Order: sequence, then structure tokens, then C-alpha cells
Amino acid sequence: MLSIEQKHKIVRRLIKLRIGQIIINEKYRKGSFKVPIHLAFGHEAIAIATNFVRAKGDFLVLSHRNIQYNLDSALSLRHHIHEYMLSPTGTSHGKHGSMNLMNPREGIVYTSSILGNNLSVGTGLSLSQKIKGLENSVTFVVTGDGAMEEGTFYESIEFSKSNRLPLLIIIENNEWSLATKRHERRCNIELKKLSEAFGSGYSHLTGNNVFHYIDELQKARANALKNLCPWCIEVQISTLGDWRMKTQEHPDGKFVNYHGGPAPTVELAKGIYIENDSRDPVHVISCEFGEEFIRKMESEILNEVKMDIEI
Amino acid sequence: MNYISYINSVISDEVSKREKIVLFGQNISAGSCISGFTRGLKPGERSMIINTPNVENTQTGVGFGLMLGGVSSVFFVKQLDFMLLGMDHIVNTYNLIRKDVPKASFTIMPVVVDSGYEGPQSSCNHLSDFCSISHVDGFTITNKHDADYLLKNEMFRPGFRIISISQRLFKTNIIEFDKEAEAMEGGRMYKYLSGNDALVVCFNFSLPQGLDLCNSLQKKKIDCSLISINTLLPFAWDKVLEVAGKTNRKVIILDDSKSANVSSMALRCSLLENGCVDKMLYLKREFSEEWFIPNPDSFVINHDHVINYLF
Ligand SMILES: Cc1ncc(C[n+]2csc(CCOP(=O)(O)OP(=O)(O)O)c2C)c(N)n1
Repeated sequence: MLSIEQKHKIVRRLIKLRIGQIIINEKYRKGSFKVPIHLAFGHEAIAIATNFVRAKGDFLVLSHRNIQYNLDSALSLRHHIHEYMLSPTGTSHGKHGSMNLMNPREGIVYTSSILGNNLSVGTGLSLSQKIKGLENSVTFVVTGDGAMEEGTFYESIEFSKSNRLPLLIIIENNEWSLATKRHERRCNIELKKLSEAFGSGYSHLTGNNVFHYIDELQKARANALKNLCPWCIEVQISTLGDWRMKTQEHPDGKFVNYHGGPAPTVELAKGIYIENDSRDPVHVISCEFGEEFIRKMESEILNEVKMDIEI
Repeated sequence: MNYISYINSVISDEVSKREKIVLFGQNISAGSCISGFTRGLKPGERSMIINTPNVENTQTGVGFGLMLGGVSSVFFVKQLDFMLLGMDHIVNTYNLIRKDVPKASFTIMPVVVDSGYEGPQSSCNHLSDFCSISHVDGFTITNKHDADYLLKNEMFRPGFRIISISQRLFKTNIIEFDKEAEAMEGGRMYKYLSGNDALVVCFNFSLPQGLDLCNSLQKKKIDCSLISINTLLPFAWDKVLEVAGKTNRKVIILDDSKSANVSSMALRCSLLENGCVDKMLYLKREFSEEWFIPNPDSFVINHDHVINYLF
């Protein structure tokens, strides 16, 4: 059970992550970054939960949409922004930019912009922990409902199961792969059944409650270690930041999914809430702690952050 | 001793000296162990030998993951063309991590299926194609001397490379020279004979043909220098040009690869550009439909033709 202090710290991290992303978006809209960035509004709960549950010695392996994990692990928003500006003072000394951003000091040892590649590299990392006798370490790999379509998703589960590797695969299922929704591009894949077919574990997370996610991830981590098998954690996510584009055919505006680039409808002036339902992890914590508490924390963090990056 | 038994014995020796390594591949400690290539390997403590499932893309990613995790590994592959499935990692994953100082080694050891009887698969016989795409170090093993050098110095050197062997040579006696070979460019090319009448330069796996040719010419009192280029990256040809200057400015280039993209052509150009030759013969494969059906596929050099043309 988390204490109230721990919970407050987690809420703080979540709000800080949201504010950090909003500020990056502001700068992105003004043209401050040349590297392509995939923002992750709506992904904060799973990212904070994963970073919280990761133990020292665990590896985390990411993909193109990685800001949610990296920014929360960064020394500061300033370091993160500097990385996007490819400055030597960035988190990764300006060598990786956004889509391949890693931070080995924080256990983020590999990030691939090529869909699926991180799954097999993660499998190898997990095998390296086994060889080194790190019996209490696991490797987390983050993938998406688009990336899991690649053959290596199947192969990596097969390889990890065959070699008794505790690989935790987080599937951020936002239903979208670039501009196609799941049903527009493929059949449904029942991950629970697929996991069962390999004799590996499966958890399904919905609702964006960071504390519930922490609970579930802790269980999944423990089970993967106990049973020495891969564990798929499918997380239902809405990537926020969509907008409506008015065209002749769609005078009321055509829905445009947010994939990457600046999010035109998200602004610092509008505050940290993007949606008023469970699609937004900020809304979910707000229901538990009350809007007043969240707003107060928002303004405190904003002041700190402003001093850090001088905006 | 035949070629494959010798290579197997050196590999056995090297792996037995190392602890915490992973040797992996399909059927590497089962059945014929890739026709003896991987038979009886006993790596040191806390190592693993893994007969993997048939997942080449994932296997390649696993090797890079192990390397990132600080564990050295060798991935043995029954046929070079199977590596096509791992190319994504050889290009994209390696390009991402090659900037950092490697913590461990990852070596892929494919068999080049150049015996011809595999039909279309034998048309993929040029390791350089797999290396040039991303400037990866790649080496061919053609005889006892380069086997010793490459397996002892390269197989577990931190970093990534591909070392390939030739199926055509498996059952043949391993070539051994009376004098120790002169290793040049850090073992990337070797000079085996030092005659003054002509220079024979062999690419890919054509050393046996080159040696045969030198022996034939010797009977006619023509003393040749013999060089084999074992690394497949294009590099500075100065050393070869220097030898050409001492061999009557007569050069014979042999290349048994079937690719259209060959570094032997670069040597040819360099020799001509630098005015290093009076007479040159460039012998390589001519594209043929025969490549795609099973056949003996030997690279036959007409010795009389060489003699008549050059002397
Ligand atoms: C091998 C490969 N194919 C295609 C792409 C192009 N691509 C980049 S992101 C993306 C969508 C991936 O969807 P998903 O994994 O669900 O992640 P999301 O962007 O929705 O977070 C695609 C198709 C790629 N990067 N790599």
C-alpha cells in the first residue's frame, strides 16, 4: 500500500510530466525543435507507474514515442529540452534527439524508432541479466498496437518464453498507427489468447489510474520473475491532442488523430486538463484528490519549471 | 585436417577460455551441429549454448541486446541468406549503438552457401553485401592463418562484426602455407607468397583458386605474390598498389562473389588510376540463369588463358 506522502509524490510527478510536455509543445509550435517529436499526452499514468515500479538494475527499452518515460526520468525539463535542441547539455549530450532518446544512467538503455526492434533487443537484455545472475532484474519493453503487428513481437515472446526470461512487454494500445485506426488496417488480435498460447502472462489495464497501474505492474513484475516468463501488459490509452480540421467536405471539422509534431489544440494557457474523462490521467487523479489540490500543485510546479527553463 | 574441423577446433579453444558468454543459433548443439561447425563447444562458466527457435530477426536483436547488457555472444547461422531477416538490426540497431564504447562483443558467423547445390540460395554468396550497407566489419575465413588470426583476435573483440566461412571448402583440406602469412592492415588482408613476376589478389573465398593459379604459374617459372582480401569493406589500397609495383606491374584479380556491388572493382580502378599496372586480368563471375538452379557452381580459372594473356 502506498502512503499518502508517496501518493502525493506520484501525483506531483504526473503533473510535472504533463506540464513539461505542454511546455515542450509550446516551444515546438514556435519552431524551436528540428527533430520530430511524438508527444504522449494521455500516456502519463502508465509511464509514471512503470518508472515507479522499475527496480534498480531493471532495464527499460523504448520506441519512437518515449517522452513520457524519458522526461519523467530526466534530470530536469531543461536537460530534456536541450536534448531536443541537440545541445551537448542535453540528457544524451544531444546525440539522440527524440525518437532514439535513451538515458542509460536511468536504466533506459535502448530506444528504437524502428517498430519492433526494441522487442528483440529487450529480449537480449533480459538474457544478459540472466547470464550475469541478476535474478531479481527484469527488462521492460514499451511497444504499441501498431508495432506489435511486426513479426518480432511474436518471435520475442517465443524466444523469452523458451529461455525463461522475465520480459515485461507494455503494449500502449491507442488503437492508432499513424493515420489508420486498428479496424482500418487489421483484424483484432486477442493478446490475452496470444499470451496464453505461449504460456506467458497477460494483464489488461484501463482507466488511467496511476495507483492502480502501479499495483498491476508490481504484480506483473513479480509474476514474471516467479514464473520466469514474458508478460504482456496491454494498456488502453487515448493519445490526446487530436483536433478537427475544417474542409469543404467537412465543414464541422474532420477528426485528426494526434500522431506526432506539435499538438495545435494543447496550450499552456488552457492549463493541464486536456479531457474531462478517464482518457486523461490528470482528470483521473483530479477525481481522487480534488481539482483545488491539483490546481495548487500545478501552479507550484509551473513556478519551479519556469525558473528551471527561464520561460 | 579439413577446413571445417580446423575452424571448429579453434572456436572450441576460444570459447572454452571465456566465461559468461552466449553461443546461440539454430541446431548448434544438435544433429550435425551445422555440419560440424559448432560441434562440442564448451564455453566457460555461467555461459549458455542455446538452440534457438527459427527467428533470425529476433536472434540478431538479441545479440545486440546482450552486447548492450555487457554479455558477449556469437550467433552461428547455417546460411548467409538467412541473415537477410536480421538486416534491419545490422543496419538500424547497430547504427544506433555503434557510437558508444562497446561493453561486450557480438559476432555473427554465417556459412556462405557457395557449393551451388542449394540453387537460388547459393546466389547470395557475397558477405560484403551485408557489410557495405552499413559499413560493418566483415571477414571471410579462407585458410589456417586467417582462421587463427580472426577467431583469436576478432571473435570476442568488443564490438560487432560478421565472420563468415565457406561451405564449398568444408570438406577440403585446410590451406596452410609454409611461411607465416604477412598480416596487413591489422589482419584485414594477408600476403601469403612473395614473387616478383605477377600479383594475384583474391577476394571473398577465392584464395584456393588463387593458390592453384600461383602453383601452375610456378611450374612455368613464374613467381607470383599472393594476397587475399579478407575484410569486405572497401579500404585504402596502398599496400596492394605497393606490391603491384614490385611484381612487374602484372596483376590478376580473382573474385568469386556473385554480387553486382564488389570491392574488387574498386581495387581495379585504383590500380588503373594510379598507373600501377601494365597488364591486368580481372576474373569474376558472369551473371547467369544457372545461378538459380542447383549446380556444382565452381569458380574455374583457365590457367592457360592467364598465361597466354599476361606472359
Ligand atoms: C519498421 C517500421 N515500419 C513503419 C514505421 C513508421 N511508423 C512510425 S510510428 C508508426 C505507428 C506506430 O504505431 P504504434 O506502435 O501503435 O505507436 P503510436 O505511434 O500509436 O504510439 C509507424 C507505422 C517505422 N517507424 N518502423
